[in-house]
Amino acid sequence: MAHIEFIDQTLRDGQQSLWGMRMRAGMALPACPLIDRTGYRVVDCTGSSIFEVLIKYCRENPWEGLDRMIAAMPRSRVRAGMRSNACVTFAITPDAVMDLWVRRLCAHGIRSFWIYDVLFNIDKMHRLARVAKEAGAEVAGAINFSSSPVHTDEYYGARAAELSASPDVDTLLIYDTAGCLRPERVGSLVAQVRANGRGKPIELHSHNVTGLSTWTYLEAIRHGVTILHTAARPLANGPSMPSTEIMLRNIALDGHTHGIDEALLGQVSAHFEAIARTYGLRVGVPNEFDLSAYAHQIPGGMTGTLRNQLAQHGMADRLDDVLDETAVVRKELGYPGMMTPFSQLVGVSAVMNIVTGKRWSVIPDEVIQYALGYYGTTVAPVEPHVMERIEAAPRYREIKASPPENPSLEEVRRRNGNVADDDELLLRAVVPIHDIEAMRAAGPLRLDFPTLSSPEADFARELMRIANSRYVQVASAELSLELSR
Amino acid sequence: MARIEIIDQTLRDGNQSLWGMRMQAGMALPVCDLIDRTGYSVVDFVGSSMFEVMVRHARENPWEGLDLVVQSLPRVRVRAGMRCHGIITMSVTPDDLMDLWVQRLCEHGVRSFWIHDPLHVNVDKLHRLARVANGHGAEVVLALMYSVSPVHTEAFYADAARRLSASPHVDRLILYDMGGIMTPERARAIIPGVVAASNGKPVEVHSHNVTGLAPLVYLEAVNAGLSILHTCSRPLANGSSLPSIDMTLRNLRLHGHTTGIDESLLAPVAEHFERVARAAGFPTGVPVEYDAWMVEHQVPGGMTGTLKNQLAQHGMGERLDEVLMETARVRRELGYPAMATPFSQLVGVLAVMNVVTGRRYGSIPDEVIQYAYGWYGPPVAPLDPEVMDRIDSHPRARDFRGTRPPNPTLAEIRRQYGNVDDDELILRFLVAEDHIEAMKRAGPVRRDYPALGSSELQRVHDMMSASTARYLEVAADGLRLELRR
Repeated sequence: MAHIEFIDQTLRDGQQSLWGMRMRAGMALPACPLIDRTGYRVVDCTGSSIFEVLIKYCRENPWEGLDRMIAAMPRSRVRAGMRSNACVTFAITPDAVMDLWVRRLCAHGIRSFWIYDVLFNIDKMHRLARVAKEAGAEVAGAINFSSSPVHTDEYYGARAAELSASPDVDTLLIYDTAGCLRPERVGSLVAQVRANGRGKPIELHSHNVTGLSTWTYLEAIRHGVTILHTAARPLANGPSMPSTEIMLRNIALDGHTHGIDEALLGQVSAHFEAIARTYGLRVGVPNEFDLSAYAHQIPGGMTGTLRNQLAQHGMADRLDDVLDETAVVRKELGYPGMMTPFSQLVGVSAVMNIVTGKRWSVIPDEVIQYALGYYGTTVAPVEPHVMERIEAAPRYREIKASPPENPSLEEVRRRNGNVADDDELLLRAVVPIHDIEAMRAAGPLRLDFPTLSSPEADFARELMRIANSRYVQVASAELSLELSR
Repeated sequence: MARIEIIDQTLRDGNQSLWGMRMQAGMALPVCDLIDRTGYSVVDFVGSSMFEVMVRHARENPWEGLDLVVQSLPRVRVRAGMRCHGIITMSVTPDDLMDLWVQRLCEHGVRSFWIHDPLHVNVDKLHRLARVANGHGAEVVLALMYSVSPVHTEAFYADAARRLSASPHVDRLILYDMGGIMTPERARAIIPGVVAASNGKPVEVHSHNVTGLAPLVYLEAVNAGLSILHTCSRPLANGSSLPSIDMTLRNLRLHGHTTGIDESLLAPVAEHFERVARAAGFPTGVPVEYDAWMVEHQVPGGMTGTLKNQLAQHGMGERLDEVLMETARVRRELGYPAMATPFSQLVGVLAVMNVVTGRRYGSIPDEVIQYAYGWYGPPVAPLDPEVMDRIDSHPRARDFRGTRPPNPTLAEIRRQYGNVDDDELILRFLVAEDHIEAMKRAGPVRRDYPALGSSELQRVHDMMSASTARYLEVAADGLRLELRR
């Protein structure tokens, strides 16, 4: 019997996994007061990629939206997330800019961070944790789960020991992006993290790609996890996390308690279902168990990207080959965890290998940077035959001669035309200036996202969906109906 | 690396689990040739409940439908299924009529039978039916009905396997998980004992994907040496139905196993049934979130819907969870019958009455008294003494105590039903005569089912009656709909 706390991922990873980060602040705001009163330990809300997407594709000022959402959730500890060494993109972000991110997010009301680094640059993680702590936020140190011969329980135990050593790290977060943490593995993993975690609470975040995460959560609780990441049902499952609704049911059966007000869940889910229906966004449904998820460990959303890339080369039928190749490339590159930036890096290499038909004939700059250790020490060495190809690549010498810089904040400001406003400076770190201008030109934050709700309108939409003819007319004594395309 | 045999359940259990057995022959016939050529060894198709539903609700002659389907499946063995002591829900059917049912099905071209007894005690009846079917050249598969309770141990199933497989007329056994409550661990624990006890006869596996774990159970079964799996075309798979053929093949392939399935035929069949579902307003199967309560109460997926409806009729729709828990308790008190027909219904009805009236066992259906007095064979565990007292002191108890169910001969049955042919006799036994008359009036079986038209028009009609406005206009996605009164 344990008391289980929940971290809401509806507004962050739920919509990241299912809506491609297209959730506008105005879509979330009607639900925010409900979420605020539901009883979550933390409400995850934002990250630099969300900033990028909102500006580029929604022309919405992410700072403004964030302020509104935080104001609508006064009771809640709102979370932001970041990689230890970069915001967005493949490039390495200067430490000073990362620190500025944390401080500015705190100034806007963020009170919780999750900080990750697939290669575990512990110094950078601890530095950011200290900055966050000084600005009044709590910190979850992420342990990114990956399945490989080198990612053993002992490996994760050692990382837990390092991460938890800082007094600025409050909780340890086992983070399973690809949903490949199986019920039979989670027990021994949690035991190791717990044994090395200095008594810090353990969070679990697992994408329900195979449908087993729900079960993994229950096993994890039996071994000492007390904080679960879940999302409202329409933004749960499939590539997203288990739903809050099902986890409450399941933990009750094991006799665990929680502080969630279940009465509010239905309203929140109904709101996001209506939004999804009206704006053509995807609602999460559980996946049928698919063994191949364990082989390639590709995050849910990325499969779609790979499919699109292949379609551009007229090779859409080769998705399975690319997925197989992904597993091989990952092994050859020393088993990086399949998370940004490495999931992309491995995925792009796999696509190149298949599309060109000659393995490692094209080597992206980022692979060279990775092999040179610019992102940190690789978990396992890059295999010698691939290392040879990398060293022989035309760009190798040039990239080796110019390791990433680490300019001061003053220097960064100077390079960006001495922008006085730090929030603006951070936007420029994320997107090109013309996108920021287009965002400004689009006007103020849109708050009104009406949803259709009458049964007649639902019928009409359904009818429109299924009708094939260009024109349908139906008349009875009472009524006449016309449908035209 | 094994060669796996696949049995198609689209037309029978997929239809039963998701469409309430409303699939008319004309809905299946257009794709029977494709199914026939897909490479299945057996296509399950029919059972007495389906006969009943076809006559009552579809006004369609099931013998005629069966003939058409059997003719269009010349390459595969068509299967029928039955309980060893009954072809009508809840009651006990005379032996002679059971034998006649098997004979007539064989005459109509059925070449495979699965036969079950939820209590695994009526071995004489099982073996008698096996002899009849075998004598007509049909294959016989006897079922081990999976259940969870203190008495349903590994030894219980090994013992049942030994007794059931002992007849030379039994060709195979089937491990039958109708509630979808088998976990991979239980599969690992139970299967070796069953295999060892089955007298060298092959064991099929049939698991409903109610908790999302059935695909894992299938992989465990294959690891344990079993090689015959039951699946459905995707629109009729998952949820309360079985795993899909698509995902099962994918998972098998990843483990290096082969099948004789022609995958190019799967999509056209799935697309056909999707169209039929849309046109007829039937649901398609979607995977579900892992719900530990399913294992607790063991109520088959389809039955949850029935319970929900029954409660709604009493204005108690919100008490479903309570009824499900009461179901688990009633089942324990009745000596853990496996939750299959007729016991799932008996337990469910009692649970609803206990909750709705607020008085446990305030009323007791005749069938429960008959069960307690051994009409269906001895219960697998003794009934709870208090409940047995309630039954003993029931006014109807004296009518059933020490009695056996009536077992008239075929000659006597014929006298009762008049001078009709055997097929008609069976129909009359299953449904009231006025239903048969109505069925005959409806004319011959339709060979197809219009996939577009009627249901859209029905929706338009619904919309017209739901709308109170004199004028309604909806426009979206390049479509415009106008409604005038």
